[in-house]
Order: sequence, then C-alpha cells, then structure tokens
Amino acid sequence: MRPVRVVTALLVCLALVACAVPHQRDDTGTSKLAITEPDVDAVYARYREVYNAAVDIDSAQPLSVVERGSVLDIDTAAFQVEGGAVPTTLRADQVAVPRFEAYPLWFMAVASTDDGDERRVQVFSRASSVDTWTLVASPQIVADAELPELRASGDANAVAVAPDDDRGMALSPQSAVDAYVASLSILPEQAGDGVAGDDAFLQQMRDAFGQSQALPDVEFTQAWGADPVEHAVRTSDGGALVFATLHRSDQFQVTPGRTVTYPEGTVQKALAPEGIVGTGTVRFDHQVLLLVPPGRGDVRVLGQFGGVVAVE
Amino acid sequence: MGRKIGAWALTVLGVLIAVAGVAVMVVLGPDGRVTTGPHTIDTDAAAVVTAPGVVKIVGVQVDLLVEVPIDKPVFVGVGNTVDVQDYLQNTARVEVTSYEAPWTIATRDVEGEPNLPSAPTALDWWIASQAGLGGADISLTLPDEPVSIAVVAVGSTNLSGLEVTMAYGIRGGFGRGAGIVLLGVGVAWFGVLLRRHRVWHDEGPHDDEALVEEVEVFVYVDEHGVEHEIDPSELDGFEVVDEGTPEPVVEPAPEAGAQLEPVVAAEPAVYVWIDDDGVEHEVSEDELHEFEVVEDDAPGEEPR
Repeated sequence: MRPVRVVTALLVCLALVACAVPHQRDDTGTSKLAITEPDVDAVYARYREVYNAAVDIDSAQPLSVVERGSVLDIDTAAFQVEGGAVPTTLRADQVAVPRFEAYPLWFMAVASTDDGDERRVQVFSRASSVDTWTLVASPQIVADAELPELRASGDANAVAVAPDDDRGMALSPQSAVDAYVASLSILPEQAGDGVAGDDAFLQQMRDAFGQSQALPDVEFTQAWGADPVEHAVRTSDGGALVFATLHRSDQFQVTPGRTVTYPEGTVQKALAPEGIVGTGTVRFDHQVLLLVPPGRGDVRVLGQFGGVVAVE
Repeated sequence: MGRKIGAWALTVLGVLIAVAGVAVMVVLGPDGRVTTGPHTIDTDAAAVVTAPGVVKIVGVQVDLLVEVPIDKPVFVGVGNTVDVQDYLQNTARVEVTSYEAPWTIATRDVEGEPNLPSAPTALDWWIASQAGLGGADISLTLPDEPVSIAVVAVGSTNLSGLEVTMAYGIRGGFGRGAGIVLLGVGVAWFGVLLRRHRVWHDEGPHDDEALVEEVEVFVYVDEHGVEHEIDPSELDGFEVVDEGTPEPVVEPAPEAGAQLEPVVAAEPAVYVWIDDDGVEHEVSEDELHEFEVVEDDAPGEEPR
C-alpha cells in the first residue's frame, strides 16, 4: 500500500469524525437571509389567495393583508373601476434574497403570470418580526426584458445597497432617484440635458404633461416628489437596481363655467364623477425600477407601475 | 528512517484519537448527553432571552425544559437572533449575557413594556418552539446560524418561579465516541504494522529492498557431479561437508514484455586419455588429433 493512499484514507476518516464534532461558529455576526425559497412560494400563494378573494368580492379591503404603501393605494383605486381588478396568477420565477442584520427584511422576485403576458419585478417586505410579508413594490417590465445580473455574496444571491451608498456609481440610489425626479419636473422643452436618460417612462410623462397643458381654459401645473429609497440591490457590474416610489401631483385651475372630465372606465372618473370644477388636484403614484449604471451613465427606468390614487 | 518516524507518529496519533473517543463516551454516557438542572431564574418579567452571541456552538443537541408554577402558560423557542431580538426589543426581559457549561450564567434586567407585541405562538420564524401549561420543552440540534433562546410568558402572566432544565450533547454521541475509538485503534494498529515492515512490501517492484527468505537446503553430489536435494531426515547416511549460509541471490526482474524461455545449459565436453594403467588424463581439444575419439555417455560403460 502506498503511503499517499494511507494518509489520504486517514485524512478522510478524520474529516468525517470532525464533521460530527460540535464546534463554534466562525461568523460571530448577527444576520439572517430574508427568506428561504420554499417560503417565497408560500408568500406568493398567500398573495394570490388574498388578492383573488378581493377580486371575488369586488372589494379592496382584504388587500391590506398582503399589500402596503403605494401598491395598496394604486390597487385600491383600481378596485373603484368596474373590471379594474382581475384575478392574478403571478408566481415567482426568480428570487433575489439579501442577508440582513436587522428588520425590515425584504426580497426581490421576478414574477410572471401563467400566460406570460404580465411580468413584474416585485419586492415583498417584512417590517418587523411580528408582521407578515407584504408586497411593497411591483413595477411591470416588458415580457422579454432582460434584467442585469445581480451580485451575490456568500449564501445570499443578492446584496442590498444602502440608499446613500454611491460606491462604484456616480450617484447613490437616493441621489439617482432625486435626479430622476428633477428631470421629470423640468418642462418638456427644457428637458434633455438632465441626469436621467430619455427612457420610455420619461417620454410618457412628458406626453401626459403636454396633453394636460394643452387643455383650453385650464391652467395646469405639475409637481413631482419621491419617497425615501428603501430597496436597492447591487448588480454584478457594480451598478444598482433601485425601487422608487414617485408621487405626481397634477393641479388644474379651471376657468369658471368650464369642467375637466374624464372618460368612462378610468379611475379619475370613478373618483371624481363630476369632473374637476374650479380647482382640483389629481394625485398619481408611480413605482419605478431604476437602473443606476456603474461609473458615469444615464439613470433609466426599466419598468413602472402606477396610477391615480386620489382626486381632490 | 523517515518511514519509522512516520509509523511512530501514526501510532501515537491513533492512540490520541482513541483516547479522545473514550473521553467522549465517558463524558456523554450511554444516552449521549449531559443533563443539568432544574435551575431557578428569578424574574417577574415576561421574557428571558439569550443575548446575541451567547449561543455560539453548532451541532450540539439541546433539550430544554422550562417549568413555571400553578400551570401558568409558558412558551420556549429558539429562533434566529435577528428575529428574537426584534421581537423582544421593547419588552421588559432578563437577558442571559453569558453562559458556561454546564450551568454558569450571567444575566441583566432590561426595562421595557410589560407585554409582548404579539403572541409567540403566532410567529412563523421559530426554528423550534413549544407552548404549554406549567411547562414546555424543545429539542433541537443547534444550527449554523446565530440563534437566541427565548422563554416567554404567554398572555398576561409572567415568569416568576421559572425553572430551567437543560440537557446537551451529541445525537448518537456514545456511538460516535465508539467510532472514534475504533478509528484510533485502527490508525495505531496501522502504525504498528508499518514499524514491522509488513505493509509497504506487498508491491515489490515499487520497493527498493527485496524480501529474501532464507531456506536451508541439503544436497548430495553423485559421482557425476550432479546435485540431488535431500530431506534433512535423510542426512544420517551422508557426510555434511558444507554448512555455510547460502548467499541470497537476487534475480534480475524480467523486463516488461520479455518472454521467459527455459535456459539449456551447454555442458562442455571433456576429453580424457586413458593410459595403460587405467588412469585418465584430460586432453585439450587441440591435442585431440593425436587420439581416437570414443563416445562415453552410456551409463555403466567402461571407460576407455
């Protein structure tokens, strides 16, 4: 018998014995993966169950169990329109789970419907240890959109980026969102040299601005704002995917005797059946998925989910 | 020399492993665990919890029994430290800040709300948990993640009169100890075999020393000079003329692919001249022309 074989056999035996011996953890830090993949399936199953139950009873009331924040506001408004909410078959195709040292915990998932027509990048969050998982972001992307690869770390297949972390990027997630809001706030004829690139969402919002501004006998102004960034993940090239909630406020000053009305089947019509007389404000929430590239580059929107949440 | 040192090292290592295995068996006993308690924790808070970093061991089997008097509802659970800390962060509690086996603990009181934010039984992140009236127990193998142990009063009660009994060990620890002993004995025995040169030689071509077995052989030489091997029991009728130890003969190893053929010894012919007195005189081949050559191979034929 060769000595090498003997030593190898001995080392294997010792390794097996060592596996059975209790030992101290190498990592003394305190952290946990936000969720395990089997639990993600359970979260989605519960979401579908509650959402579809809400559709069945034609009431948004149960949604607060599985949704929170602007997602809940947008869906609640959609329930005001007859046929505005349809049953969902969304289930997670890909899951990105960061590791956290404290609550809130959250994970990102790319989900699609059974027919493949609808594809969303969603964030479920657990605010505290006594809360359940709720959907807090749900931007929709085109069916064949390719998302950038995410950076993994250890047993976590995603790395959360702090809102003020600008390492490797020209802007931190929060700064990128602020810059994007600044671009939206610039009138169409002045836009173009802003930080944000000329993406589809930006174009869509400028078109909407132009339509409202073109209304006769109406003085129209628009204001944009954003919630603090809570969810961002690092891409493998050093950039970041940032989930942001934007607030848009369309203010109408209508000439006396005139009315701004909306078509049937719209949320605006459901919330303001008589239209806007005198002064009125239509509030929108837009959830966007922003790509912040590494180095210097244009911030652009990869997907969005939004709608009217109030007419005042 | 190096091999001998290695053999000794293996032997010593084997003995040490075996001793360690015996120690495991002795410490854990046949049930594979050590039991301690019941120990009283004096508190009237709603929770007792281990602080982050107190539970550092991985792979230990822990059985925990908590008991409270007069059948008060009580809950015991183990969860990831992130979860447990978040759950109890605002609750008045006793934190166990250090633990030494078998049962030496340090605690501190943390002020907070008297009640829990939610019933512990409603939470889904416990790794192991149980609730009961007057007592509850859990059994788990500590996972490779930061965990905290929490004892919680359920409802509007508190943990006054709390007693904790704990057992810890290795699942199947006695058997594993026995396995370690066997492994150690095996390693030690292998070292012994090495020292006795009985292991390395079974692959001869790889070794630099040939194994030579000495065998005493007795032969007699007949009148034709031919050697005949005889049994030692037949020695009586012979005169022993040489008792020397034969020199070991190392045969060259055949080359790969070489075909062994029987070797036929070419015995040189001896020519003799017999004078008138019958005395034989050896002659060389050069002198043969002076004589008439007569074949003399037939046994029993008279020499000429």
